[in-house]
Amino acid sequence: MTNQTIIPRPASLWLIAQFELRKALSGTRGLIGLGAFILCWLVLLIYPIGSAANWLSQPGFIDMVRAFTEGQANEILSWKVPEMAMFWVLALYLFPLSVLMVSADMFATDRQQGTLRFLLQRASRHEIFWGRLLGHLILQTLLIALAIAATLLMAMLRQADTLAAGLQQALWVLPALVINALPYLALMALLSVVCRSSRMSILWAIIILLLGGLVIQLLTYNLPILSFMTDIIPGSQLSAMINTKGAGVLGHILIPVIQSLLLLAAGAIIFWRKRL
Amino acid sequence: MSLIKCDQVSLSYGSHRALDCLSFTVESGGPVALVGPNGAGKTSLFSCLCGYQRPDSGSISVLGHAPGSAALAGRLAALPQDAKLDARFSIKAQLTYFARLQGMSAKQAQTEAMRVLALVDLEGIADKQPSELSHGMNKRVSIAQALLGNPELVLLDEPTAGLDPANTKAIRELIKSLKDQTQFMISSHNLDELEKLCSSVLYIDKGQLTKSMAVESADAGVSYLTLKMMNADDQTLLPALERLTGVSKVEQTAAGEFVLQTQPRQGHQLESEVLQLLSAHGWQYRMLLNGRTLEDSLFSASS
Repeated sequence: MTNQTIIPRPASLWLIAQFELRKALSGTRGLIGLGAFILCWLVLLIYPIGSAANWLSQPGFIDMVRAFTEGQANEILSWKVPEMAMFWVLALYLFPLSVLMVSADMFATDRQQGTLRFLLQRASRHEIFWGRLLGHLILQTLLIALAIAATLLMAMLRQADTLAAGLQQALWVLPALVINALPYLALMALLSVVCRSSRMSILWAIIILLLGGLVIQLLTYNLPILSFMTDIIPGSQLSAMINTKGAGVLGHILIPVIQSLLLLAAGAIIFWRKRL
Repeated sequence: MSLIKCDQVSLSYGSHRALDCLSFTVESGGPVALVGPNGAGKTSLFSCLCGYQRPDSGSISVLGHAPGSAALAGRLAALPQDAKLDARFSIKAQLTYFARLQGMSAKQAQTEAMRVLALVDLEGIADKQPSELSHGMNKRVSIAQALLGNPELVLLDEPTAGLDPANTKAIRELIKSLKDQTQFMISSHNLDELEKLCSSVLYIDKGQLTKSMAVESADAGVSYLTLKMMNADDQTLLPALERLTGVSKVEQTAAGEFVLQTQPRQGHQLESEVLQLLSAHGWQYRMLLNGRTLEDSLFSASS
């Protein structure tokens, strides 16, 4: 393996990514997954997003919330399309959760069943690792774009002339949500390389995110000098991202980008060395 | 250039030494058999050759490249033991995917997928998923994927394990038909099958190479004649065989089975004497073989 090509071949990367997309979206399992996603967002759109948009479109309600939050929600309240504002708040937390579910089995089952051995005869370990990651990244981007499109449609049903403003907001929201989901994708890539099953990958993700976050909170509370550790766990920047607007939604991308790079480097190295 | 070159290869799983300073070279020629008891290290060796894992020490060269090298894609193929295809896709879709990864266009890949399925007589199941197939069919499909793109070297780990006799024969005939354009290395416990197929044998035990020989080699100055009986009084037959002209030693390898060791001989004088002896006593033989079986070559006391 010492002579293996470090730089993946683009054609192989793309083929592997395409196959991952087909795996996620086709067949009975894929269609059920897609159906569940659509159903969840339909319920969210009709109830929290649809209802909240009605309230947020009333000036009196906005003034009341501004007073209640002491100005801490000024940015989010000033979004031109209230449906997009509500979508933003929900999506910040829900899409990372969907990544944990959807990408938990990037490598685990195929590694245990020996399926990866068929691929290893035709593609390098780097191509398999980065190709599958690319496929999952494209999948998450498509799902986010689909949810944004549905939200914009909902907004247009309420008020027909919201499309232009909504698209402008979507221009920033889409990349921000994709980058926000990236550390979770990287974490699941790493865990599915290490764990024997998708179930164990999800369990360990929960332990790392919840228990790890709790431990770090306790440590930083007692030792403020360790406050930098709050940026170790994916999601540390989420609450700060809520009250942003326009290009400002991309103002906190540095932390998730660094987290992603570190997690992906660890995953790639382990996958390079692991017995498959 | 040697096809495979292993030099002092060692591999351990915890405290268990799977491969222990293993060294051998495989040159191009007929199929090579890899034989050994359970746990000898055959599958571990194949894993190292294919790049599924790296050895702890030593060096391996396959077709002049390190295992797992991108240069080997399409040139080296393997049937990994117990590996399963993706349960979510049809056989044709997966074989097409593999062929595309080997550099074929979409159309070429589809054609190639059907070609290799035809080689294993499974064109009819192309649109089925692995879960719909029997163990034997899945094994044949896995063999088919190893033939995509006409690779130069194919490693088959237990290719006939779990196959019925008819399919075993079909796989054997397939390998025979391809052996002029493809080099095979076959790991199996079935010595009869390997004897019919392979021209050389590597015997591994406890991670070490203990024997390397040609299947039909004759020891210098020694010939063999193998006799298997349907019915005979072994206690009477054995000394009678020892008294035959030119026989230096007779070894009874199993009930009713004898290996006669002789000087190199011309003609069939000894065979005639054996048959006359059997006829005189009314004994029926099952097989009379000029030489000895692979099993006897590997495991007899005189080997």
